Amino acid sequence: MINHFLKLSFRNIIKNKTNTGINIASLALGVTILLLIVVYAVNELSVDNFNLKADRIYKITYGNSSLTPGPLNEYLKDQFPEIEQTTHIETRQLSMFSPVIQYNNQSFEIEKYYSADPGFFEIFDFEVVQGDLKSAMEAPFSLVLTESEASRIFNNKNPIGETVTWKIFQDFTFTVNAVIKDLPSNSSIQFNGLVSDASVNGVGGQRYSANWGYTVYESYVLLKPNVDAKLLEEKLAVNLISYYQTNLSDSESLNDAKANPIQLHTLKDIYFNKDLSNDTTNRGNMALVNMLFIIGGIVMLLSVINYINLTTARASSRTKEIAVQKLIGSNKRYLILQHLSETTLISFLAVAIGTCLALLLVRQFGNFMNVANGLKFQPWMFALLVPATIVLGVVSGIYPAFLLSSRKAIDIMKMKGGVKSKGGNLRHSLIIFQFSVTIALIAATFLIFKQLKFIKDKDLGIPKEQIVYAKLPFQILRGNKEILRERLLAIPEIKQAAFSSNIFGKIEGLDNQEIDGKNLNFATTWVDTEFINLYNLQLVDGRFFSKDLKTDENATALINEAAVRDFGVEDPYQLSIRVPGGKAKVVGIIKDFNYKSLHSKIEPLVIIYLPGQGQFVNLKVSGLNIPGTLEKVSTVWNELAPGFPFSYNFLEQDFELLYKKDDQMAKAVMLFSLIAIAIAVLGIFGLSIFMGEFRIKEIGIRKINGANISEVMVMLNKDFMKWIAIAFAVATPIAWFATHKWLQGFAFKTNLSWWIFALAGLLALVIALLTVSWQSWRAATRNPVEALRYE
Amino acid sequence: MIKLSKIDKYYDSRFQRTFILKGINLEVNQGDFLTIMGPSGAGKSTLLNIIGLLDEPSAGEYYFWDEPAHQIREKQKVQYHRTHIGFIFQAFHLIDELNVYENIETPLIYRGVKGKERKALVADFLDRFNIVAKKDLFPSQLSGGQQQLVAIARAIIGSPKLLLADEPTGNLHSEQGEMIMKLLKKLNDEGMTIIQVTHNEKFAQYGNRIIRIEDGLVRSDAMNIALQAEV
Repeated sequence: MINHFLKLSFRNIIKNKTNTGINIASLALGVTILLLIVVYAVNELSVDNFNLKADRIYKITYGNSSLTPGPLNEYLKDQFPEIEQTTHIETRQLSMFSPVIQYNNQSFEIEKYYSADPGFFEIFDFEVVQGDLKSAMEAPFSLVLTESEASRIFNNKNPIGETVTWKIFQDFTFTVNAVIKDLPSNSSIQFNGLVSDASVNGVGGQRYSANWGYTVYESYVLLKPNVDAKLLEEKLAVNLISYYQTNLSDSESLNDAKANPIQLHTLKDIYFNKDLSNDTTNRGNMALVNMLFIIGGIVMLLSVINYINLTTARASSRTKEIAVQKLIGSNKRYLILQHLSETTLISFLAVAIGTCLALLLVRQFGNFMNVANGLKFQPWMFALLVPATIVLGVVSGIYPAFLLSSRKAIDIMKMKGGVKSKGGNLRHSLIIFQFSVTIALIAATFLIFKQLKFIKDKDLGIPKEQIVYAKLPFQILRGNKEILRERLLAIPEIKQAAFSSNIFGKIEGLDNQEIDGKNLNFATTWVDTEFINLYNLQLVDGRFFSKDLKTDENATALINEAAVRDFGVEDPYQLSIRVPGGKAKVVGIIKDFNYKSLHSKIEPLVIIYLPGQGQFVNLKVSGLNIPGTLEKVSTVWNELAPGFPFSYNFLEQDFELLYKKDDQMAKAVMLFSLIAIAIAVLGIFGLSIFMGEFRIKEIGIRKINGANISEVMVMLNKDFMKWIAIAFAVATPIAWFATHKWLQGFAFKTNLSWWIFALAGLLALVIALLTVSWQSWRAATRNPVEALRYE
Repeated sequence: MIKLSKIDKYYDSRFQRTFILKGINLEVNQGDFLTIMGPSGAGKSTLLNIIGLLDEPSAGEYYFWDEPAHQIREKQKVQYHRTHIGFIFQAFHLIDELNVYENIETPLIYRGVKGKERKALVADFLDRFNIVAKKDLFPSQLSGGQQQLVAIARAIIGSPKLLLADEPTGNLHSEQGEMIMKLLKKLNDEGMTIIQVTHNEKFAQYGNRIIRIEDGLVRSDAMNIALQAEV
């Protein structure tokens, strides 16, 4: 029986090649997209669960900040029996190191290195290739590298025991003691190399690792089995406050512990946490995952609709086959089974082709979605393809199967009179649905791009063009800053040079201080007086701090208008902000400007005059030959800080980086809109072929009675145009609502212009018209005699 | 075994009732070879459809193998189509996607006949109808007469008690038509009850009884004299 079904199915499939081709193509496209999305989503949702103890690993935050003090992990391990193991990683002190290392007189730029303590490999399960991880992390001046990093530096040589030279304030020699496999793509912690904590301590890092007052580490704990993390978290918070109270003299840390209590987060929570700041690990975007799932489902639905539409449209041409089957003893059940086997066969082909395409494209898609270390298929996913094939076959086949099998045997007797095509209304509704989705996606794409352009073009209130900044190496930080400034200003293209502790566009989260009994949140940066001119800050009230007033130094601050509003104090000039070694009085109020992403409104900002503290140099560069200018800067730099190449950033690029997630989303929505369009086009293409054949007699009669080609084409295209008009009406409010909702995520937003929707509708109309006209033209120009010959 | 009494078939439109068949009384006995004749639109095919349980009468009683047909449910009809009735058509209506062998085999599959038995039976029929050489050809590769031959083989392979033929020679030229009619006659001689609809006076004479229908009414019903004379 099943053989018989398959045989019939197979022959039916190959009989109508165009139809089958369109069906398989659109289903395969849907399968490809869905598979890629599933692979991506699985990678995202399975973040970090290659760690065998993933369910017991927690990351510690202080409030919304991932930064914790150095002594914390030892303290927690000693004091709390619930905690099995702790570790912390750190990259801020490492950034004091030279960005290059030397091996065999060759320089290698290094990226994504962390320092970590021995607990690291006891908590996280990274696979070792060579060497002993425990001793490697305990020994000072010891390195653990990933395989690809090791082969980058040492080529084919066995890296174990090899040494590299790394410059800090003198040359240090590091030994490679272990090599691990390249990290899985779903690891939130991504690095190329690990430096043992002991080495950082060895070069003078103790003041961080032993000091509760500095928060530079990201800490992880491994809880013992069956420990309630919530209870432990409360216990830790209470304990830490009392510990700070009795053991720490500075009240700042205590306030901080109260305002930003210690929290435990599962790795997955951390990964998808939107509010986290100061985190250096990889971060996911749940909204994007959800959106992709929805879009993937919709794309799949669109391709299933194609199948249903084309199959039901052709139902009439299969009347004879079905009626005959019934006459010679088949029943409804057999006919449904037979049709489902046909759909399943098509679905099998589509899944096979779709899977091959997905396998081919998975790498590109991973890059497209910025997945670290490349996206891969998991072997178990292939096992899902079998049920997926059947589900796809049944879902797309069940309605056509019922429609076809409901044909009565007696229909065969009436065939002489011609049979009307059934299911027309449903088909039209489905086309309208397809085009509604397409139009909505096109409109959303336009809007997203419009908003991104708006954001990138918006005047922030400070200049961001032609500003270059770089982090200062220790040689310069140690008393050579003024010399650097002098030397740089001697370069004619360098207009201004200023030092600051923070960079606009890179400020994350807000600081918190208790001032006069009030808890105030604000962003800060420590600057010198040149900074005011370089960023063209505008005074609203009061005065700027001045180089000429010695009393201003380390003791004065500017606040922005948002701070005046938000702090809610009567006299802002009474405010004193705590700074290292004292307090800074507010002397001036500056005009608001955007120093963060335009997702958020302008938040309070405090700019403090601490000329000695800035670790970044900001340069205003003029002239056309910026690379040449930077070359000159580099020369000066190398003289003052040999071994520390001048690695600079453009402020403008940093601001663009703030919209990485949005760019990602825009790219994804655009890609899927294109695919949705492709599927919808395939669908109406198939239908227009059918329409042309179905109405062949009508066309012939009309032509014989004097209709010209354009009239026939209007007749054939009219319906499609009508459907798209309805789809436009359906899609516009939905797209408006969705994009409006998306725009709410921005404090600064572009207009939801009417033309976006009009353009989307028009585009859909033009695409549909071109597709349909191709077939209508063929149908309209056919010799009418051909059509009527069979009468 | 087939009994129609006062069968009406009509369609109601808004203002009037159009009769296709009106007050048909008919009895067919086992072993009959009945020919139904009449002009186009007389209701011949409708009558055949009602007899074949494809269509239902609007009024009257119909007994099929002494079973009241107006009470037969849809599911049972499938059973009757499997076991009691075979159909052949003017347009042959073979399944285009299946070859000769498979077309003949299909009814057996639906009847749940096991593979081995099926093979033997189909081989036997191919042999009987002299189409062994054609078994791998598809309908489009056959002449009309050959197609009808296959259609007959398909219709009777499930050994039905009744064979309904709707203008079986309508699409054939006379020589092939003759061949088909001779085959039907032979089947009838072997005991098959046959009801055929035809326009062709000559082929009508193969039946042992001829009824003529006009405007939904039976105009004449007579035993075929010529044939009886022959006997």
